[in-house]
Amino acid sequence: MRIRTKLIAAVTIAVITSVSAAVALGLIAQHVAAIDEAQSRVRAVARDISSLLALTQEYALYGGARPAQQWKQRHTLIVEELKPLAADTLEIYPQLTQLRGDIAALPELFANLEAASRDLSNPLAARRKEMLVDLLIANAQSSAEDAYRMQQGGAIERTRALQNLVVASVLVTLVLTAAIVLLAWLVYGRVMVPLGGLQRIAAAVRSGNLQVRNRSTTQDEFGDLAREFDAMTDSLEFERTSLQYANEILNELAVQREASEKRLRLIGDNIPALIAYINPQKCFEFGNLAYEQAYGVPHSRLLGMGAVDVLGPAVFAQSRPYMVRALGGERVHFERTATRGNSLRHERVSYMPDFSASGKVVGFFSLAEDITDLKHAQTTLADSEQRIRMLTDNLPALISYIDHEQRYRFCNAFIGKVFGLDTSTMLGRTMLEVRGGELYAQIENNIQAALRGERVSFEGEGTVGERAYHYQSDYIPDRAADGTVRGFYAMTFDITALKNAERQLRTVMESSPLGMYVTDAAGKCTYTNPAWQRIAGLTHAESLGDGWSTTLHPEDRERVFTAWTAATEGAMRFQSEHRFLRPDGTVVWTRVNAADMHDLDRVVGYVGMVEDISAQHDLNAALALKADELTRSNSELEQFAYVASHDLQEPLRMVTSYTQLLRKRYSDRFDQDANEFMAYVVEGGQRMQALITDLLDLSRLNTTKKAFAPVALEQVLADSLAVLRLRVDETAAVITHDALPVVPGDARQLGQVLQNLLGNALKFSGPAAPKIHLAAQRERRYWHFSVTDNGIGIDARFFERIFVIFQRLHTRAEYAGTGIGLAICKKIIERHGGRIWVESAVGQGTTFHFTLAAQSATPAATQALPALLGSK
Amino acid sequence: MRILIKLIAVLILATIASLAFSQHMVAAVARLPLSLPFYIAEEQGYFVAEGLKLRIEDCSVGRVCLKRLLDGEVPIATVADTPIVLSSFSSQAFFILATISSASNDNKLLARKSAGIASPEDLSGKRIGTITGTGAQYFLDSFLLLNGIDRRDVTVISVAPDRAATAIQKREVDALAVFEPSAYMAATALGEDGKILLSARINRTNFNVAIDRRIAGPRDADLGKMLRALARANRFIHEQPLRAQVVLRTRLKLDQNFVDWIWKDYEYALSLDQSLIAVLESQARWAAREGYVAGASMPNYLDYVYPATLARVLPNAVTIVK
Repeated sequence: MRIRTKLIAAVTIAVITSVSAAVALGLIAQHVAAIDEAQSRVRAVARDISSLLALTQEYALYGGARPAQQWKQRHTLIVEELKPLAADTLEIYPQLTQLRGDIAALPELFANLEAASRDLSNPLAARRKEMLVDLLIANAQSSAEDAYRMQQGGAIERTRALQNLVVASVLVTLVLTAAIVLLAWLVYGRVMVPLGGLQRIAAAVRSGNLQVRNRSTTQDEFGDLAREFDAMTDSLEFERTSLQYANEILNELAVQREASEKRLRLIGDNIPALIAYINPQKCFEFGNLAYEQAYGVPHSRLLGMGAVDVLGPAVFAQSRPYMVRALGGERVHFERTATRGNSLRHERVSYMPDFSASGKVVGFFSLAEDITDLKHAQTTLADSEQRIRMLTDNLPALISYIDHEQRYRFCNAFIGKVFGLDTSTMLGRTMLEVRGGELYAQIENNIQAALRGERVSFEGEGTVGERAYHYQSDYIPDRAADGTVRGFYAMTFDITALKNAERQLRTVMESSPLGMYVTDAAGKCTYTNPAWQRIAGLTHAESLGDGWSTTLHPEDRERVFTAWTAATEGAMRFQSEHRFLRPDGTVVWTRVNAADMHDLDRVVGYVGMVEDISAQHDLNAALALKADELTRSNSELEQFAYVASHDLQEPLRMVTSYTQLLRKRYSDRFDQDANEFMAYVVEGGQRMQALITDLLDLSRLNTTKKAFAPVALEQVLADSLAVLRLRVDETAAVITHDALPVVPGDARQLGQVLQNLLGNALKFSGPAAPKIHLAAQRERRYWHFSVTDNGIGIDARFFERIFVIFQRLHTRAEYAGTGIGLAICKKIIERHGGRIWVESAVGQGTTFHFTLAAQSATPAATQALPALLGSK
Repeated sequence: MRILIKLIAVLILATIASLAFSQHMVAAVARLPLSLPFYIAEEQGYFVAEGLKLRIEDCSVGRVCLKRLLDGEVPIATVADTPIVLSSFSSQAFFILATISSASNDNKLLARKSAGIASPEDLSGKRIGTITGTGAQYFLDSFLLLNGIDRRDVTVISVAPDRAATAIQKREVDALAVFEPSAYMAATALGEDGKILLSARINRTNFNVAIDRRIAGPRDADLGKMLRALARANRFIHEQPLRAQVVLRTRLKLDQNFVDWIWKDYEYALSLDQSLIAVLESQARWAAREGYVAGASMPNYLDYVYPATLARVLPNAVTIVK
């Protein structure tokens, strides 16, 4: 708010307050005066009522005209005095109405009293007078008390009015004091304080400090003045700052120019090109650092040098005609070569004339780029294109590129070769123009599909000259980066040979005695040959899809489906022997083999062969029957052999024993022949016993099958050597062995094997003392053992025979034995899941090999292995 | 020692009695417009604000209220001048504590035109009903005497306040000298047949609070509270007459016409004036003269006022010198 407005408002408020206070005080004073006047009247009324009361009593006692006259005069005075008391004084005198009523009632009572006083002879009149006196006195007294209370009320009201006057006076004084204080505060705060601030700021500006500001936000005259002063200071500061800024800009421009020149030089030196400015005298006025690297001219010497000196005579000779043209005002571009060291460099040069303001050529700018790498790349690209062209030209396929307007943009040489055309004449022409309307109509849909972005593959037939051929075409869309189809690659292969092969294959399948069928990847039949149809008893139509399955025998159906499903899901070969139940009720046994057909790594179907094996199946059934019979027969034989050998031992032992007893007791009684014969009997009996023992061992192999347990072969070997100790000592044999493992098996039987093999090695030794070595070597899941000796050896013809029971290669006279030992070895080894064989040559010693399953590493497997092996 | 024990017992009993009194005070209040200060003080909670537990019990007229006081049923009663005067000849068991209201025209003489009454002179030989033992009876006697009619020339019939209208309507009486609101109800019941007979103003009716003499002194504090509450009620009537009128008509179950009928004649203010003594003595002489009291000497009514309490509450309200 403006100071002027505030001052006016303050003065106005003070004036209004003063006037209001004066009016209020006047009204209060007026009110007090009115109360004083009313009080004066009430006092008079009270006095007159007291007189009236006394006159009533005087008249009642004595009667007479004078008291009556005075009573009436006094009453009139009272009435007259009450009249001016206005109705608005009722607030002060609530008794006024009552008083007026009481006063008004008195004259009638007094008149009745006067009348009653005149005739007191009547008792009624006396009673009446007495009552009237009482009434008058009571009323007068009551009126006097009303007047008294009115005086009290008036006095209270006057006191209250005076109190109001005092309060109003104090309030007015306070308001006026507050107004003066407010005015003083206003002058101080709005005038003196801003003035002082302004003076301080003016002094600061005078001393050169242009930063100081009033920044006044008040909206009064001093605020305006302060803002004007700030504006003036702003203007001064702006001018000073502008001058400083101009100086700074000039300094900065100088620095920037120097930096710019440095940057330009730096840029020029680092651009991979030769940049120079050459004047009309063909001397360098500027040349970047690249010249030093390219032409070996030190940069510090370059300025002022002639072009011929810088470039050298050969390069200058190539450049000179263009320099002349550039100095003639022509902008020229050319390429030149320069030899640096051992390499030939290519440069692309541009000369740009420099015109003066008058249009005269004052020099030219030279820009030379080394394009050696570009040249090499172009050469490489050309070579690459040549190779691709060569490749496509020699491929036995028609390869072309057709743009979106169906115009040939590329054709390989094979197209020209096939169609006898010059392929260059095809380029730029449409497919319709080249292929002709009839052929175009056949492939138009495929062309449109390829141009829509679809990959198209189709087959067709055509003729070239008189030769009919089959072809397969593939159209591959060529998409731009934004996805639009720019054209397509067309590749057409001659598949005539393939088609012929397919036809031949179909002929073979049609004429094959084996049933053949083809299914898709889902196992749905798509082809069956006549042989299949004949075996299954179905027509070709009936066999398609799932129709083939109707011919499966109900008992085999589930098994075949399970196997077929497993094969198709696992992409495995399907093999099965099952029955076909033909519609006519006959049953055919078949062997079915099927294999999956792949397109790259994807299974596209299955091809299978079905063979009618009913006859073979019948034969197999007969063979199985025979085998069962044979097994049963062998078992009976083994049982018989065991029983027989066991039962034979006893009578044989008796024969031998008693014969020896005969020789012992009666040899002196028998002649020499008899003794010799008895010796034969004993020897024969002993041989017979050895034979029976071996036979018994052999038969026990099948009758007493112990469960396998881990066998420490070191211990087994030691036990065997203990048995053979006497013979080892007799023959002075040297027996060595490798470290032997623990294997699962029957310890007694394995001991028998070692005993037999070592015994044979000791037995069939040559003239030299036997040298025997037992080797052991781990081969995956087996241990490979070998017993090698330096004995007489075995002819290779007898390698198989020696393992057959009772087969001997030598007479008993040469070497004792039953001919059963190796048969027992073979049986034991085979029972342990191993194999036994021999390597030998006559006079070269012999090596018996055998294998045994190794013990599993894990305890679980160790426990399971004996049971596993024992079940074989 | 025995005396000391008795003294302690008396003190204990007095304390208990005092406590019992402080529990509740009961005032028998006449169902009259003059009782309005009591109604206002109760409605506005002025008694409670003063810390006074005062219960109002209605009675039909002041005479009945005073009788209950004299019978010892209540310690406080509202009553006009005449019953006080009539009782004062036989009992000194009460004090007048204060005048709470007054009326200049409360008693009225209502005549039945059909009974041939057109002016006060026509009353001679007629049956006039009044509420005997009250200011109405004093008014009737005064009215007759003022108009030169011997009381013995009329037949005065006592009517109960609530039967007055029925009595005149059923022509059991020819005229009625009764105070409000019986006068209004009778006039309303008669309608055009009724006539108020005018006369010179006979007296002003003072309506007072009488107390059991025994509580004057011991219960001064409570009596002071009651008077302060009544003074506050009178200020309320003076400052808010319309709201006071609502209380009045609600309490008396009457309509605004009745209020308009009587309001201008009533003044509600606490006082204990010398004029009261004059009025009492005047009425005492009347009672003796007319034979309503049997041969007793005139009581000294200064002995029947108890101004100390009012003088403490409102010093200017007391003009009696005692």
